[in-house]
Amino acid sequence: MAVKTETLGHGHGYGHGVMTQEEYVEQRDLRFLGFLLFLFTDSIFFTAYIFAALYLRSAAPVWPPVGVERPDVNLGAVNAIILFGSGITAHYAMHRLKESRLAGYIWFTIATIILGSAFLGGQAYEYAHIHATWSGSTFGAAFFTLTGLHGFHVLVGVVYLIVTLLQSLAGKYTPERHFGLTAATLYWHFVDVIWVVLFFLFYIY
Amino acid sequence: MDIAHIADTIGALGAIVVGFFAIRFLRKEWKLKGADIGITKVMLTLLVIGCVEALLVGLRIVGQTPLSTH
Amino acid sequence: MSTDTIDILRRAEAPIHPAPESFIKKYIFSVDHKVVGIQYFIVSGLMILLSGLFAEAIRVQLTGPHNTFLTPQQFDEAFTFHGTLMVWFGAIPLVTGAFGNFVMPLQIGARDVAFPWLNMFSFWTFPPAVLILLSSLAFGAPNAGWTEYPPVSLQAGVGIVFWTTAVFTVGIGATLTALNFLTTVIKMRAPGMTFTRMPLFVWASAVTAVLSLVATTALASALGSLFLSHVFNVPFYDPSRGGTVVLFQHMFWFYSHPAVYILIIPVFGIVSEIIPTFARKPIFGYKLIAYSTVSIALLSFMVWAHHMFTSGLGPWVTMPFMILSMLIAVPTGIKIFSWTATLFGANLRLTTAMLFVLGFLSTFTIGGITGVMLASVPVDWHEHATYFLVAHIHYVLFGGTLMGVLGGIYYWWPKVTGRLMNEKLGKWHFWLTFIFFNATFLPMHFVGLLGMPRRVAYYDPAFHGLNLFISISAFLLAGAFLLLFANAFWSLKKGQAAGPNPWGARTLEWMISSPPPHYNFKEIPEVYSTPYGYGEPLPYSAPYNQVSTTPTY
Repeated sequence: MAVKTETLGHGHGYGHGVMTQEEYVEQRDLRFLGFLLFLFTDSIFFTAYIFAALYLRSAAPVWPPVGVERPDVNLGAVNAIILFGSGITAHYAMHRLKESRLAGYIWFTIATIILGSAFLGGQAYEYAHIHATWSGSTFGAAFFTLTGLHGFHVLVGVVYLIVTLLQSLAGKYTPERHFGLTAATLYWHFVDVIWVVLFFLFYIY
Repeated sequence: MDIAHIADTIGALGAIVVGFFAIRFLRKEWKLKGADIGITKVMLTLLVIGCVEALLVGLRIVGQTPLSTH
Repeated sequence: MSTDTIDILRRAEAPIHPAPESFIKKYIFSVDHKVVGIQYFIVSGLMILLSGLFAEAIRVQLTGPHNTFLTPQQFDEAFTFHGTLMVWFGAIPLVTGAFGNFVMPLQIGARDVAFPWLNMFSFWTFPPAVLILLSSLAFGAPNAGWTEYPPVSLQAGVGIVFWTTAVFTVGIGATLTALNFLTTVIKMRAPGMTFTRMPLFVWASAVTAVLSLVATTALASALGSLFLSHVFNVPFYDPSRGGTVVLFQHMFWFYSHPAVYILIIPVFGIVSEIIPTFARKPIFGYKLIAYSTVSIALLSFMVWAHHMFTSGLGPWVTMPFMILSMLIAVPTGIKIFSWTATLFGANLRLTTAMLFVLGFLSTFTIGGITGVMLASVPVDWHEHATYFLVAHIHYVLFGGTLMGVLGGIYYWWPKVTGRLMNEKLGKWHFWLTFIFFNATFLPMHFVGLLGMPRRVAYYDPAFHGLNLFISISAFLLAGAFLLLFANAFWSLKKGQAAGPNPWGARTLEWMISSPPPHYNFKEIPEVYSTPYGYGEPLPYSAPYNQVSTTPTY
């Protein structure tokens, strides 16, 4: 057996040269766990602000405070459905790749990117029309901080998806080896699911 | 029919469609095993809840505030 | 993950990567966990020195009741920087970044952490954060104490923006380190090393990583809100616009109480390694120590409001927090008693490392007892924000964390450098540290009980005598540290070669040469039992079971 020098030791092993399937599985397992821990710690970030929002709500006599209006719930629901729908297309894309149907994967990923961008556009529209400001009230403080943080995550997710799309067009991912895509899809689901909570918090509750 | 009703209709119909696909995926993946599938199941379940939220808003059961115009 | 996983990282014949050759890759942007650990050690050590200088400035000011050495403004900045530097830039990187990085992968028989590049990145968030923090001194330094409660913190200059950015940055590094360590411990243990065969320092590192993952992000959100409040005038903490300052205290302490355990749990791990080595006995209650670490971690998330008993929470909030806080004494007591039981009837070898650990046991126990006192609401109402509190935290963090860390330094120094330290000098260092530590902080209990408030530049002349005594002891305590540097330089120049296992310890890091080769283990070892079976053959596969466990120092 030829000695492989590029595989282990200190770091710059993987990503260079061609890994055997075993090495790939090992690296994928490490990175998968690491990625889950990242999502976990990221969710704490949102959780802390969600509790802060609930705390501010409990400290206010009326919610939203006088002179402040919630964003429009009907348009918010449409925007939410756009984001949730992008979760479904992202899921489809992943399955198409696993089934080696590359064209399907590409189209569904493009659809996800478009839906994600549409959501960001919808949020920008909302920001322009809401009767609340970031510095004017505690509702505004909580709303703009949390949705802004979420919007930033969506933006990162859109860029992430574009990068993985370009990488897969360059032939980086195969039906057997596609950890980067799994991570991107999981991240997108995560961003979706955060909105389930935020939508309830700011539009309904 | 004003813009709020159009939004309601789109929201409710969209919620039903997205929810349908989410439930379908959930049923497909229910018996599969593996850590990434497990996480996906949790995510899809929450997605279904999100669709229920949007549906209830679309049906004007929850979250009714007047449409702001200016 | 799935059952088809093939653990090549655990395979005995896993190939070895050649060592980097260029200076920069070897020492500056190194991905080797040992080099990263030493880097962390150097930078956080410098931060502790700097923080110590701020503390000495505070003590100079307090030698007289109305000294003019510092203005009240400078005094406030001094204790703010003392606390900030000690907690985030000194102690936490030291116990996780330095000790965790160097020791933990060696103890689980791995060649590196799970994500070596990320590890390097984590370290390199640290020096920029230091620069950002220190640059705030030039822009209206923060002066509301290391907790930076609004509204006071928001009334200072733009320095608070630098302060939040710096702590946020160092927090990113801490979170990534935690993520890295947890993945490493879960996935990369040597074959045969089940969870209940892990050395106790590994247990401590893993639990600390969990705490860090949850809490540091919560801190980031608190810092973020403070940043937004200052920069964008967001009304989280402005009561005139519906905000509330107590919210910040909740967000801050939800992190900062677990942070206390981020500071102390790795030290529990260090102590659990040193005691059996020098008692020459299996550790008493291995599983109890491991599981009590876990329960301390769980409880630490449920007690944060005991820092806020004087913030006006109702009794229905303070009572449960009081009871839960007192409950933490149970798992901590389990540890103290397990260590004491290990010492019982042992033929102790009183090396410097062991002396520091015995010092830790006594001073940390005192700090723990005053902790239970402060957890009681009526007592806390009386003692909050007095020097009694200052005495408590220093008994826990200096007498606990730093004392244990010093023991750890003396213990692992031969492994890191390959040379022994001077035991005679080390014992002088210990006794001077121990005596002047108590001389400094024990009287603080008394002035605190008499009602001297903390964080004030001037005080009632009635406290003059005790304060002068405290200050002189504090200067001598700082002087004792010179012995450590003298010892380190002496050891590097003239120290006796250590050999692989000078203390006769049994964990895996002592089964390889000192300092370890860059790949750590030529073949990945197999593990058959816990490492603490003194008197039995070593529980490792050949050649790692050939190392002598007779102490050679």
